[in-house]
Amino acid sequence: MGMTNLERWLMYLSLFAIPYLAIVTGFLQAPVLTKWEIEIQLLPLVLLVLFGVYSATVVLYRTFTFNDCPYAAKELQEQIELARKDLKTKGFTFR
Amino acid sequence: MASIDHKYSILLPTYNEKENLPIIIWLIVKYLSESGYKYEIIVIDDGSPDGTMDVAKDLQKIYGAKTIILRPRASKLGLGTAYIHGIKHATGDFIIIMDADLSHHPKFIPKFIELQAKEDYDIVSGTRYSGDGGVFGWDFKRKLISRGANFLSQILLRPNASDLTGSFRLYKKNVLEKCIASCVSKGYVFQMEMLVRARQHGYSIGEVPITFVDRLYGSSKLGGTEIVQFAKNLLYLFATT
Repeated sequence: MGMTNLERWLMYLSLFAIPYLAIVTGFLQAPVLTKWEIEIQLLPLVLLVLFGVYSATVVLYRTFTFNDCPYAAKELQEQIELARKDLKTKGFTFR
Repeated sequence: MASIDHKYSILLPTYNEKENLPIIIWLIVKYLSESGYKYEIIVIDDGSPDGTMDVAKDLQKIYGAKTIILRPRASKLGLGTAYIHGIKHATGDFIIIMDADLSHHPKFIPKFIELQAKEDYDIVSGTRYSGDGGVFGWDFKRKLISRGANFLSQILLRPNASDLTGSFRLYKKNVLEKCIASCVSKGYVFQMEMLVRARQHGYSIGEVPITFVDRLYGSSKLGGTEIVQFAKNLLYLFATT
């Protein structure tokens, strides 16, 4: 049995969180890290916002492009009439 | 053609469907006899007070006891147990499950069968969310909730299918038995768990876009309790599968 979805998410999260925390707590130090300090600190928030925007866009796009299928309802209505007529000729009585 | 040797058992769980049952059976007979497949319809009525069972008996007189098989149960039990009950009496090697309320059109059944035969899929699932699929009778809010819930479950559960909560599917008989046996949830989220278990077992899933006509008579159910139940089961499956 492989990993559960939750375990996989936790693995990815720790792959990000461990270096991130090492940098923001000052455990890892380098001039380049000091230069981009604010950007690095804000990275999780930026990623979260980006993911939120992506999700909202996808869900809204799919909502607006959801097929309404009026033809399917029309076809069904017509077939219901046909079925009722045909069943009656076969001796079926609707209760 | 290989499918000539196969037989398809269509399970119809019913509860108060005396209006819809004659129509759905008429449509199934129409489309399946036109395409020439061997089939049977197993009606599993859970003691409907409206007399669905009497209607089913009348239909059996018209279409014959080989085509329409009645396997009622005394009271309203879960969907999973209805399928188990139906499978026990099924003589086909493939099982088709669908709703009896006319939201699932039998014209798609031959398409399910063709796709299965072509690719030898373990499961063929109808999908409202891709291709020409869609839904009639939903307002913006209902569509938004549905799309949102679907998006979330795709991200959290990585299923191999686009319509997790749909209930119009074809299964190889042993595949259906195995999926049901590993399911723990009940009710509306049961369908979602079935496909997640299918992924765990490594079963292949094909998809056919379907049009879903939400109840022409009466209104469909999606309340707060359904949403809470969905969320709970989604998290449960996320943590355990």
